[in-house]
Amino acid sequence: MGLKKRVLRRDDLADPRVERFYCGALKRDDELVDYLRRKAIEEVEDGKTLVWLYFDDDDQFVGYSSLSDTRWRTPPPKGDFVPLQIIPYLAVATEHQGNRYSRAILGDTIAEALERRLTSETLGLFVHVENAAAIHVYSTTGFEPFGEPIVFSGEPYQRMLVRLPEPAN
Amino acid sequence: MYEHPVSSLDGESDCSRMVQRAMLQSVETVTNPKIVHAYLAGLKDIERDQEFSPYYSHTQQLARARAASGEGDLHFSLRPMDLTPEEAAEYNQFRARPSKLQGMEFKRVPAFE
Repeated sequence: MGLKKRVLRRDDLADPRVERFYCGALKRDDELVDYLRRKAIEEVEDGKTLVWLYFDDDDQFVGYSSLSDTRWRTPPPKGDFVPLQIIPYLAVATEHQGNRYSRAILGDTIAEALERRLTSETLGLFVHVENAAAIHVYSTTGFEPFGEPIVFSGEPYQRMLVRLPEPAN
Repeated sequence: MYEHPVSSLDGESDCSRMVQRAMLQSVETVTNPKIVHAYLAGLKDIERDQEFSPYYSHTQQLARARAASGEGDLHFSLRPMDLTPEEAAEYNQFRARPSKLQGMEFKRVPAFE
C-alpha cells in the first residue's frame, strides 16, 4: 500500500478522478465532496489552507486532506486568542476505505502540522457525532473530544483536539 | 442589478488601508446587497477588535458575509470561535496535560509533482 501526494491544483478540478470522487451517501459526505470540487482551490490559492491529494501506486485517487489555521478566544469577550491548526476536511474514497489509508493520510497530516508547530501547539478537527469509524481513528491516534458538539450546516459535529509535542532534540 | 457604491468606501476612515484594499478587491465581484451589507458589518467587527487579522482575508470575510446573509455556506474551519468560560477552563486543562503524541512517529507520504 503505497501512497504519494501533491498539493491541489486548479487543473485537478477537471481531472476525472477528482470529478468522480465519492466518499459516501450521507449529507456529511456531500460536504466533503463539495469542498474538494468547489471550495478548496480558492482557499489554497488564497494561501489560507493546504490541501493535498493522495494517490496510490496505480495512480488512483485515494483521498484528500487539508490543514489550516484558526483561533479561539478563551473566554469571550476579552480572553486571549489561542491559535490552532485545524484539519478542516479529510476524506477517503469509498472504494479505498478499509485499507488503513485514512490512518496513513491522517498521520501525514499530523506530520505536516508538527512541522508548523511554532504557529500552534494544538491540532484540532471536527467530526460528525455519528461518524463512529472516524471518531475511532482519531481517538486511537491521540485526539480527544473537546466541549459539547456544535452545529454546522444543520449537522452536529464534535470538536477533537490533540496537543502537538515539542520536537525532540 | 445592485451596484455597490465603491466611492463610499473612501469614507470608511476608520478602516485600515489593508482593510480598504481588501474591501475594494472583494466588492468588485459582489452584486447582492445583502452580502455587501453583511460584509461591511463584518468589517465593523474587525474594527472593534482593533486589528486586521490575517485570519480575516477578504475572501474569508466575504464567506462570512455570504453565510450571515443566508446566501451561502460558511467554511467553518477558518472562523474564529469564542469559547464559553467552561470551554476555556477545559482548554486550559487540556493544555496542561502532556501530549498524547509524545514519542509517536508519523510517516510522511512522499510528495510528487
